[in-house]
Amino acid sequence: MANKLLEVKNLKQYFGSSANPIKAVDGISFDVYEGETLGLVGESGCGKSTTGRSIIRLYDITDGEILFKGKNIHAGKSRKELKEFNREMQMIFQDPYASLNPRMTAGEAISEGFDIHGLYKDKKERREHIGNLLEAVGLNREHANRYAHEFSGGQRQRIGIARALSLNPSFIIADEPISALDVSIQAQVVNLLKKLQKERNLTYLFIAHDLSMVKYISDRIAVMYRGKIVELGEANEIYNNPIHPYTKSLLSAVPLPDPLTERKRQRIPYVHEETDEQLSVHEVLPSHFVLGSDSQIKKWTK
Amino acid sequence: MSKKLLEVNDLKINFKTYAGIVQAVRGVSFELYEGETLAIVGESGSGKSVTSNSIMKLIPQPPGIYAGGQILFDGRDLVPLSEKEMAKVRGNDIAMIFQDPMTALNPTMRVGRQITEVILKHNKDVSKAEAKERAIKLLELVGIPMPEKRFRQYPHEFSGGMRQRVVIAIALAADPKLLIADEPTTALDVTIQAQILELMKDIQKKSNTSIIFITHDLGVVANVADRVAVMYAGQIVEYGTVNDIFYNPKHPYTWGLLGSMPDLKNNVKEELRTIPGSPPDLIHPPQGDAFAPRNEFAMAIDYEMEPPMFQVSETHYAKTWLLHPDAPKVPVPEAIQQRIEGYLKEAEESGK
Repeated sequence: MANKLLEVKNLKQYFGSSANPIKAVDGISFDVYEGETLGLVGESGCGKSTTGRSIIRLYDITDGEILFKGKNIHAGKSRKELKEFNREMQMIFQDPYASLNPRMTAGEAISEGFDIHGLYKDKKERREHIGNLLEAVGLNREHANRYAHEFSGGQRQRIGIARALSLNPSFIIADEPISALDVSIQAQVVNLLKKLQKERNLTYLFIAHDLSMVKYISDRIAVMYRGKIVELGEANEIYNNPIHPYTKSLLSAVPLPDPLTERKRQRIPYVHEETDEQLSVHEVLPSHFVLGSDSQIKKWTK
Repeated sequence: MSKKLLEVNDLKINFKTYAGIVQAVRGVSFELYEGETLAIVGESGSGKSVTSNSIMKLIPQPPGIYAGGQILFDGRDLVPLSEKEMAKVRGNDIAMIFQDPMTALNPTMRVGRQITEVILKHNKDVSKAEAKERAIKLLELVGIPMPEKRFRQYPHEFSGGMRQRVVIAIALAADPKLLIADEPTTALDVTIQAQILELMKDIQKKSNTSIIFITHDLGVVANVADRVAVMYAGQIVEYGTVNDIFYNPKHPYTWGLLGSMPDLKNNVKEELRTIPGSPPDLIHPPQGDAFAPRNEFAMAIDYEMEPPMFQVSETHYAKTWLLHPDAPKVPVPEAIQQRIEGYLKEAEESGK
């Protein structure tokens, strides 16, 4: 078994007043292993993006613990330690139109991290590195001098990826990196992410609402609903053998490019079941976890 | 055979820009029958939204120019109509559902009034009370619980899916014969998307409305469409029934679109097929087949002459030189063929 790169333990992220907080993330725990892709899916507002942002320290977490390579990331840190952490973990954002500064060239956007971390002070060396990064994501060296508006959506997302890679991170959080792109461009970006993962031994947390792409790219999938992870397991296992009624409902709504099945599609509506019983995580099958009360699990696994 | 409702013949739309004239739609023809759903698919910039907006005459002129062709609705050409005449067609005969329910509704108006406004505008004999009654019925029809209460609420009190239902209710308010839905579910979650698609099909069944459905999601197309038009660079490159397009695709661009979706059922983990490059510049559309530079099967003639629409079967057409009798036989890429066979086999087994 690969090493645990990231451990999230009972993470809670509340917003608003403490008297009546909005529980965006309400006590979730999971591990991410080195070199794998963990997909995080759920509908809008379920807390999946908040989870990603808490992990990369964009929020101060309300409760819980996040360990990266065994170290607590929210523990008091010196500037130096913080910088080291930032080099290890990077993010790819959803909207390639909003995430690039329109007044910076692609080269400047990619090399911003070099300035902050005092890397490649030599001009020639720096240009070399920017060029290599652009080539790694399938762009040309010459693109370094162009501004964001001169690129198409897919190319911009490639620049976003090059920027995330610029400091040689080991862990990348991709927050809906393809939802703003066209289908054929989505495939290009997904292929690129897979290729880079192999070449650089990257670990991904892939956040998305598009289940078909998530299943394709992920080794394991976690399904979130209302701030909780309701099911977690191997991608194939989740897809072929969903246990939690929410996962079943979600899967029954994914349209497939197959008219004969589509015409017979039966959507399974999800009705949230409130119980007074204690909810806990059950390992229903080896490494397939479901959240529910004892009686619920019994009912669902029947 | 049901009645032909809409016939678009060789439609051409240009836009004047500082850089030159953009030929956004370059000779599009299709027809639509009563109670039928036509899906138009393609990448952004392929001209699918311009085509649908032009049917509603929503292309601003200038910079837009109707450079040629006809839009026959119930036998009447819409292109030469004045703005005043067109206002009668919009809503009454043709209505539109837009992509983003957040921006399509007026945030300062109660939802109910946005619906009664349409009813009153299109039918002078209806009293306000009757309009209200109809609006509440419409809200009920689109599956909004407690319509009397919801009638008095503002759009911000609705969730995204509920807002899209309101937008649909407004579109249905004047009983249109044709509904144009431009990416109506793209901004929604999958579960909500499935509900909205069910709702639209349901309404179609009840009132025999025709629907033009614009989307880039092939899964959605498979779910809703009777017929499909695949658009590329301002032209329809493949046209056929939904089964023709999904089980017997002929155009390499359609292969590319199908191949770029991961195959969930047959669980293949191979690399996704992509369409290399990006769409052409429509200020200077390329000579010959516009898809040639991105087409791995391109032949010399593709760079010289534009291919005509070849007929594959009675219902199925494709615009590629590969269908010419003298062209070498290029089979459907293996990965896609395997997938199609998998689907068909499964359908056969479950049919038994």
